[in-house]
Amino acid sequence: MVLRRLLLGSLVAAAPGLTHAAVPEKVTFEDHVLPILQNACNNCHNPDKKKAGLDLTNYSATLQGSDGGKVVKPGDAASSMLLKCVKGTEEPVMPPKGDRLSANDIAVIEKWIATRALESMNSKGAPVANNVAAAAVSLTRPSGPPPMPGNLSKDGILATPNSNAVIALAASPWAPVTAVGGQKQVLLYHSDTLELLGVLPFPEGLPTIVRFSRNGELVMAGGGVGAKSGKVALWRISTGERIATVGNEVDQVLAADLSPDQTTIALGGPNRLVKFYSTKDGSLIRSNKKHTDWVTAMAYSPDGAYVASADRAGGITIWEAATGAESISLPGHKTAVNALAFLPGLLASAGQDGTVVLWDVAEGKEQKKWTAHAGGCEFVDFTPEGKIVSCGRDKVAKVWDQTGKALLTTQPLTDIALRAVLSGDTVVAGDWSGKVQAFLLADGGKPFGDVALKPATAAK
Amino acid sequence: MTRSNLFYSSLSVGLLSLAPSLLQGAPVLEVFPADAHLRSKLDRQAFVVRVIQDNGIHLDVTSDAKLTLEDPSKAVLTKNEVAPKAEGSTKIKVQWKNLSASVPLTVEKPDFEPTVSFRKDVMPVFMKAECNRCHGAARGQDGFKLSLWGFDPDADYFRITREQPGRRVNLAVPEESLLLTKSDGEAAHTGGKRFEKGSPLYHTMLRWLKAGAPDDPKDLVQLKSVEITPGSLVLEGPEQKFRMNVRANYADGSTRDVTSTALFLSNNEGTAKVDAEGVLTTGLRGEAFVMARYGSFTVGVPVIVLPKNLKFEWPKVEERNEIDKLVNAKLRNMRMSPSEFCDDLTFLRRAYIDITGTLPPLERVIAFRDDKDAAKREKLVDELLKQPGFIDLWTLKWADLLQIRTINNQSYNKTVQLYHNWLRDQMLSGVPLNQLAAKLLTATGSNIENPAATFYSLELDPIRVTEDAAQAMLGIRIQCAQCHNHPFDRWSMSDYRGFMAFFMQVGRKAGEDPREKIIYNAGGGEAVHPVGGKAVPPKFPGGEEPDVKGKDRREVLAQWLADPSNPWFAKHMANLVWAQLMGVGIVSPVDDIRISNPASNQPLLDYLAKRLVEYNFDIRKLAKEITLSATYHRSTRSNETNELDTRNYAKATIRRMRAEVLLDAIADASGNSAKHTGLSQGMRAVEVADAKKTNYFMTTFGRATRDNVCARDEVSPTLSQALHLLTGDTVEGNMKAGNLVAKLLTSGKKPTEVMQELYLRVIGRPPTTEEASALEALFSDEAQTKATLEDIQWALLNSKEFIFNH
Repeated sequence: MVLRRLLLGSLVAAAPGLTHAAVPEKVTFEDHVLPILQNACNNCHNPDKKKAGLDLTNYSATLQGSDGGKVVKPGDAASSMLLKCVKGTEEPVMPPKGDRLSANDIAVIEKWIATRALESMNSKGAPVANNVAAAAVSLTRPSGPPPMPGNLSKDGILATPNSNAVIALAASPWAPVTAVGGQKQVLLYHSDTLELLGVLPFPEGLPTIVRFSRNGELVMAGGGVGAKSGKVALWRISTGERIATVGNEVDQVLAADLSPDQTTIALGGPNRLVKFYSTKDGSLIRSNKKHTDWVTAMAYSPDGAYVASADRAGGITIWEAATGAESISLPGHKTAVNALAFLPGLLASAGQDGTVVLWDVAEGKEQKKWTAHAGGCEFVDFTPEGKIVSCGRDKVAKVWDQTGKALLTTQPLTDIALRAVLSGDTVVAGDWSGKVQAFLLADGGKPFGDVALKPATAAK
Repeated sequence: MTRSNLFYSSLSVGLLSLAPSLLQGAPVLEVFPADAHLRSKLDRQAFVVRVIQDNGIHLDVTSDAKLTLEDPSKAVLTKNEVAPKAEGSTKIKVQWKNLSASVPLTVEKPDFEPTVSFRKDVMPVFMKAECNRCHGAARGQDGFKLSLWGFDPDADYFRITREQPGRRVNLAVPEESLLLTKSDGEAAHTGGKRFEKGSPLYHTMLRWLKAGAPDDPKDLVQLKSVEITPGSLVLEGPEQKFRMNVRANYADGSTRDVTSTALFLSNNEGTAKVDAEGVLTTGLRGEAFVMARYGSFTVGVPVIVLPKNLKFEWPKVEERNEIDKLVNAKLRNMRMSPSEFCDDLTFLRRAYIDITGTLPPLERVIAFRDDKDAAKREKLVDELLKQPGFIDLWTLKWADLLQIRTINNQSYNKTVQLYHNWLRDQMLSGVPLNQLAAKLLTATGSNIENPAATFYSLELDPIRVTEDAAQAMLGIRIQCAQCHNHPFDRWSMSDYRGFMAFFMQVGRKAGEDPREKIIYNAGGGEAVHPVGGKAVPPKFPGGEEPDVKGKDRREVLAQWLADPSNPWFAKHMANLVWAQLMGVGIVSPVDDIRISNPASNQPLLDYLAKRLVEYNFDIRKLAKEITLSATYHRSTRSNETNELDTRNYAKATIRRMRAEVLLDAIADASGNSAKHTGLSQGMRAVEVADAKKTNYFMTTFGRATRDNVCARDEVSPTLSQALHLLTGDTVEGNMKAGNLVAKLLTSGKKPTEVMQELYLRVIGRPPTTEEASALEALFSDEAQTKATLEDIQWALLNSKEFIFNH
């Protein structure tokens, strides 16, 4: 009886800590306020939508205020519009739909403003600067040995019992290396032996896209957490060192590519914008509004002069990389464009309509179009020598020449084939069930092995 | 002990069913559902325990009742919910105060753990959390589309798992799936938080994701029906609570307690609001219909809410026939007593307008007033049912249903006139309504030789033919189900196509006469389901798929419709007759029979339908039974208990005369037999065949355009109506043409006599003493006598007492 009462007492005492029901001693924007804003406000008050001219995704924009003036008056919570709106004491009551903020969240915001609206715990200083040097652009194979991963960590970041759909897959243009997006990590495999070469942590969330740099020395991953945050990261594969992180998106990055000179990352996602970020300092260079639906694909031309972007409504736009000016629009797909790939002068697009289309970029015209995968073409890629590899809802991956002649059709995968690349003579393809299989070009489409994608085995 | 219990309960059940009146006053204990079947480890069944108190008010005593298992080795009881333990059967005994009951329970496969099913488990989550309301919009919401109220699970499965691979579900880390993080408030969601992380809804979704988001096997057991219990409630308000139980029945005979995953709605939140768990809370006095939606089914419970401790004593009232018993039974539950009977002259005028669409002529008013026969009201009804006005009125009502009108280059004056004449002939010869409907549905050949064939030449689009036929003949609006399952009724897209399939093989070709259309059975043509693109075989609404091979599908449909056992037709027709006589339908509007628009008195509607069938679909006989009920003879005046009543017939409903009838009435009351503006010489407004032939008066007073099938019995009063009566040419014009006052004065009548006659002609009663003395004072100026009387006539024609039937 006594014991039971004691237990009960300790449980009750523990309860407040468990439910985070207390307002912290020292409230700061980064530690306490931003998480609240991200959940409740940033769907509309972000740099892209900027409802009422208000951006609440970072400290300086929040203090800058809206079209109507400042929303936070440090030290004066009672007359700060931000607090009045979330409290509902003044119109417009925020958030306009869904649940109102909890009393505790409101108390956190109130205390934050009252205690002069601190930015962070101890003025942590600017984040670690990116450090990417411009690379020489070359259309041909770089001299020297192909860039292979050095002695990288092979420790998995997250072990899961099941695997997820393979949505991020890329082959190095010059080395037998294949990169696969996992959970909060990017896995590098040897394309011929299927041996795990290294694990690159991506704590920002789920990688939705991986790409190698034109020279094969860097690997890029974009992704994030759905409806919450989006980032693109860049690693040097020889050392596994992360050399840049760009983007401050409020939703997953769905499409991204690194310019051949490695100075710029173009990215896009559900906010329909095409955004260009500097890899040197992570700054936003420009943001282009043109697409009418989610941006689903992005590709730089090998010479770096153009970048192509595509959307879920079938639109493809080619931009001048240097100025960001719109160069041309390529109408043709009536439904979603799922992937883009670039060769000099030639752009390939994969459509939900099942087709692969080759576009003459100079003329802005369709050069060749064929039905590649009934039900929807999910992915298309070029090899440096001009072969085309694609896959789709018919569960197979195919290799084509530029006339649309199929050179190889793999045996069906276990579910929709989502990504396929050609690394040397090896086709690596991943499907919806999470299985990644490898096929030899010469082998008539029989798989010779599969990649142990499940990070349970990647983990030590 | 057990045996004596059993004996006792069977005895009380026997007594209850044999002689309810004997037990009136004794409280009754009931348990819902009345049985329970657990067929897997995960199955649960909760119970609701109700006591009907001696004052008729229901109590939810679930929390206070003692529930025990007869054999505790078979199951586990937690509060009011039972979970399986071991194979076998037992009973749950329920005890509250000195009342008891027991519920049989069977347990099968108590160790079987079924895999989570997308259709059975996950789809209900989208409904309950109302995901598929916003995302069910035609273009989805923020790029994500679900089928509205879940009519297309296949498409929903595809969209969630494979439309945007990698985006909506994360099978490696299921908790991070956008499907969950958007729903539980973790990620930004325009629709806000839909359920709590860790809630049962969350767990269902998570369990499915953890299993790898599997699709269902092709032979997944189908949901057959859904029941909500208790079936009806009489509660006190405000703040009385009562929990509901919803159970799903599957094709394999299994059941499932779906109370926690059903979506609850109330059609009158002020009287009874219902929370997400199915617990309703009463409010103000009134009636509400509380519904539960699960799968493609909507089921509901009528709830009466009375003020607390209401003092009410049911008066001794005369019940002349079954109608009165059924009306009074409802009134008793509502704690309303019926109004007194109306006087003879009010009855005379009411019966004339309701039955014949005309005013009682002067001589008839006087004769009826002076008639001392106790059976004069019954004799009057018999007389009126034989009058041509009755035929004209019902021809007019059917012409509305059938949308008889001219349409440029499609429907011509000649064919419309023939169609209308044909319809009137049917009414005149007393063709049973079901035969009339069958004749229309199967009409074949030239619409000049067989005018009924115009039924298929007014609308050419099978969609319109389907929807119009459903609304006109069955009283069902199935339009919604063309594009998605009906959100508030039982109709699915398949039901829609199944009904439409009967009309897909109607062939139409031109005849020799350019106005002629020849209708034939084309023998080919299918109704294609927009989801999946398959042809849907003909299926009766709410019924089976008939064999139509080698037959004219319309013949098969007509046979079904005309069959006395048809579940819709007789009810719809009986409701039409009732609404015409009582001013408001038991289902109202009359052409919107729908689960979420319940009958105000279902037993009454069922009875009337049964009678109509027994009368071989003869309107006259049903109309007679209704008009002879005490209910029909009620005054419009309310008493203190029935002031609020609008739909329970505690008092007579005051209703405006419909446009055509009112126009004829103005002419008759003015003594004018000349032509109506815009209509043919000598033609009464009710006789006009073509809805496009109208005049300002009729349009203003809401003459049905018949462009769509909507019954337009009620037209809200407008300013232009009032102004037209006051200043327009209809009243003035008819008075001038009738020249009644002058004629009466010329015939030698004294001003007082003329005034008396005007009263009797226009509003069917003599002036009251006060009215008479006030008006007689005006006759002192003899030079102005005619003008004064005409002013009186004008004032009477503009009075509410004239314009309304009461």
